[in-house]
Amino acid sequence: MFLQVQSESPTIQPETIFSIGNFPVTNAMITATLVTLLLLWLSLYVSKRKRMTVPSKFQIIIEILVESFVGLISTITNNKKRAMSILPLIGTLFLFFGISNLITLIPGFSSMSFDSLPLFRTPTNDFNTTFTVALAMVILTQIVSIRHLGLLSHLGKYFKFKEIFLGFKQGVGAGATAMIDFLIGLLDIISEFAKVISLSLRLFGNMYAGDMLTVVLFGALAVLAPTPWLAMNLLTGVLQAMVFGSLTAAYYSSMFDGSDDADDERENNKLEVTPKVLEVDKV
Amino acid sequence: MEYLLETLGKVGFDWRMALFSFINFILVFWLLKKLFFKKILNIIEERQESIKKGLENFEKSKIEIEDAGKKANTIIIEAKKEANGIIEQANEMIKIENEKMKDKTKEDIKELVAQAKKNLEIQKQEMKEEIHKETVHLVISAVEKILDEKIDEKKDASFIKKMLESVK
Repeated sequence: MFLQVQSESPTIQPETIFSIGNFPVTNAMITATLVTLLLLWLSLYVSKRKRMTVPSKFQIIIEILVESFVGLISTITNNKKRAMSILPLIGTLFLFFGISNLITLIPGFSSMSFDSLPLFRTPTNDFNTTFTVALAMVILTQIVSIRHLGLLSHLGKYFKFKEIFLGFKQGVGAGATAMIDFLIGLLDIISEFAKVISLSLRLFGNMYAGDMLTVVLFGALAVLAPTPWLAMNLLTGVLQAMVFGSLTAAYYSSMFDGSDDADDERENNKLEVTPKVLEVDKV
Repeated sequence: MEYLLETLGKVGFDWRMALFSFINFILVFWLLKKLFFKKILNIIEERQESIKKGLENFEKSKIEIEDAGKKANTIIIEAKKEANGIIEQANEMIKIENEKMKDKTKEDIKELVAQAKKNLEIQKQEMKEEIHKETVHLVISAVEKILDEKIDEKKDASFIKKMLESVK
């Protein structure tokens, strides 16, 4: 029927377009490289641009974007200093995944093919990308925790032998509670691995399901369905990038939980003082 | 490990592709950190600094303007006081000058009156002498006519003298 467009369902693994020796070059890799080049151009454009007293519209958009990153990360970490230190990482996640999710929504982009294979594929629709980045993020949070607490204290968060000893010293009840804590500590090790799986599969699953649903919807009704669906995909693409970045920020922040409350309080006080000063200025 | 790789392979995991993704992401991170975020944060920081300075300068200027206004008011009040003082002084001086002028005028008038009186006295004296002379001549003429004779010079003189004394 003329209202339907039949297309092949996307495969789980990205299609190999060509190989360099033993190394397969997939369509997801090509798109990821394209996104990298786009971000390289953006970085060079921003870095070579002279600072103007009255910023251009483009500069304003970039500044608003970065400031909203800072705002969001500050809200998650509840600490401005910490937010500033992880801004480049979380910002990279937002930008890389955001652009990756949106780039294939450009009309005609996903239709390009090479040797009857789609030339471009959303990089986040490749489990290798999401898994690698998620793994890197979890490893990074572990490194941050080790640097912050020291290796023994960091391991002590998962293997609570000291708590068992202190608990049983107090009594059987406290000892039993410490045993439960010890088991929870072991479960935390599993949860660290689960973080990698949940982070990577959430993003990959959403993007893959999105592509699959596009094929289904186009197959059912190719006239009315694509427009709202693509509009929703725009939102989903940005939202998924935000979720990935926000969760990474939350994992990063959780590594400091309870370790430096005084610092947190001081930082938060600093954050609270600024608006008051501005209010006084306005008066 | 093999089981893990096999399981992950079911969802499309391939270590070569994963390695590429990892290197690619690290490259993007490094690029954005060095060239993008550093620059943008510097710009934002500079702008915030300049806004802060601007606000501080605004506050400073506001205070300076208020101070200047107060100073101007003080100067105006002092100037007004000074002006009032000068006006009062001028009025006093005018009064004094008026008094002086009046006094001088009075003195001048007095002098003029005195001078006029003096002149009048002189004129009166002159007139008296004139009248006296005229009277003497008239008397002599009248006497001559009555006596119808000329009195010699000696008699004439003594007569005139007597007459004059009697007139006086």
